[in-house]
Amino acid sequence: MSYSRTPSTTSEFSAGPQNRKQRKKVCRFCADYKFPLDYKEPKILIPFLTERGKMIPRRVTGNCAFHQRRIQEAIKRARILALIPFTTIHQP
Amino acid sequence: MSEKPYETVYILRPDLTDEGTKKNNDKVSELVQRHSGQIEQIKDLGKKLLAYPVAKQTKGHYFQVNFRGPGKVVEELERHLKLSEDVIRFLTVRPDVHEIRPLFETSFQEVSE
Repeated sequence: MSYSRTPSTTSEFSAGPQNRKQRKKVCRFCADYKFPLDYKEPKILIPFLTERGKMIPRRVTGNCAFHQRRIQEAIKRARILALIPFTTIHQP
Repeated sequence: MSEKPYETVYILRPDLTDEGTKKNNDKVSELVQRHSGQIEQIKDLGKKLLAYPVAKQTKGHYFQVNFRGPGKVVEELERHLKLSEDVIRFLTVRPDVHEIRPLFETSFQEVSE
């Protein structure tokens, strides 16, 4: 008799948000509506990029859809102006 | 005539002399005014390190121009920037109309009262 594994119903339960001790993330642009969002300021955009320069999805950062769209546009503009990289790995 | 606001950022080669830079900026403002546009400001954003090489340069001298005018101005300005050897990159956008967020402001005030 091996009951080392927990029954599936319990494991589903433990995977729920109640047991993960996860705090609800708040969109920082909504929290402080005066927080600047500008494509000319790479400092603001860098927290929303991975180390390789990819955009971080909003389920990770906790941004609202409205502001994620603004960030997305700003990142794309900043990339054109060589303020932030398209990628850090360059093809030979 | 409808006059819309535009914002252009262009990058000049870093090895230009002050004179060469000034000449370029004068040309831009002259061009905008010739096509019945109004310059609001030309801002020097300084020399910055580029995130990736552009036109074999690793640094660039950034400038920001805000102006109003008909769409024809943008067309002519971009044509000039494209042909100029000193300009390595440029981008024209309509400034963000959502920059001031009055909707959020009013809803916050209502709650606090």
